[in-house]
Amino acid sequence: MFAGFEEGDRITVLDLGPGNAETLRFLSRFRARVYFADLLDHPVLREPPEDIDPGDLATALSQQLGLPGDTRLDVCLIWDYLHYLDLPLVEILSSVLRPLLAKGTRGYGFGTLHGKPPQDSNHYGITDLETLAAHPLDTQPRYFAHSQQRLGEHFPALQIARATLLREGRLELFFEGV
Amino acid sequence: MFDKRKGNTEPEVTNPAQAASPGESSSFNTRSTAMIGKTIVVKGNITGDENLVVEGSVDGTIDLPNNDLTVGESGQVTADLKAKVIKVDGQVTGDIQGAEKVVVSKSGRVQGNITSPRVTLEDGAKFRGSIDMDPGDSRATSTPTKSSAGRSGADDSKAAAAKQEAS
Repeated sequence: MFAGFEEGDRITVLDLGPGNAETLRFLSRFRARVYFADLLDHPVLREPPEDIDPGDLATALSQQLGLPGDTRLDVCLIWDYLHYLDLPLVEILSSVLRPLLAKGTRGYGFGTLHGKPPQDSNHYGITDLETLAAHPLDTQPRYFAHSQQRLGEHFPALQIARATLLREGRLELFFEGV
Repeated sequence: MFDKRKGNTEPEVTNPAQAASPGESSSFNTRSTAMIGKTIVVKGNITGDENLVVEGSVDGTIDLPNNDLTVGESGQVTADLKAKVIKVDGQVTGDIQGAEKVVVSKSGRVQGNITSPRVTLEDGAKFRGSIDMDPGDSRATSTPTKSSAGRSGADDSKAAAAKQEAS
């Protein structure tokens, strides 16, 4: 994910999770600007009301992301967050992110092979290039277990370039800008 | 990449750039320190030439370009903050500029944008917003075109198989 970036490079990173000590420490080798969006911190995004207008959801998402309009993201750390959103909200997230992504943007997240949610819901920190630290989320959100195909259809902002099978039917997904 | 995962443990990697150097066991200098007590509420702009500890509420701005600012555990600040070194043990809503360093401790809660050459989030700190660790240079690096983490052909085969199965 970070191969090709040299220490000291200026990079812009979006992490859809909460602020994280390990990730910040890891990114401090770069001249990084990092946005921690903490998507599940927003009540409307955590449990969208049934009658909410899609435009209001898009506004809530944009506010939560807090990204200036002229931002160009180099790396988007998606983790499990697409699975914490229903498909209409995944589509809205895709449309909100799309203007901020470029052809070389990379994304990283997880998928599920058999539609089973993981045993625990975690947020993650990057300890080093090969190691993640997992921390339990404060609340266990609903997990929608979107298939890879569904993600491809409903999250066109980034394309799934590669998937690697992990234990317990988990998939490591590498995204790239299109 | 990222295939080894650890549990909820202290991170093992320490960035030398963020570790205190000898003689720097505390980032806070020993100049006189003013304090806004727990029951004090300030609405407006605070400037000065001494260190400040906020245990009460501040709504406005705090600008201490040559001094250190601590938002104590009971401190509730809705303000843009500027100081040499800023430590947040309480709650801050607003943008934070630390000329030398910003520390959000495990009891700290920050919603806003942090700009400082050195930023530390302690484990347990709650933060939402952006962190810019290179405030002096906005020059963007072109996005590299190399493929991501060095992966073996076997990995790619496995990935392709997983991709097929998953879809």
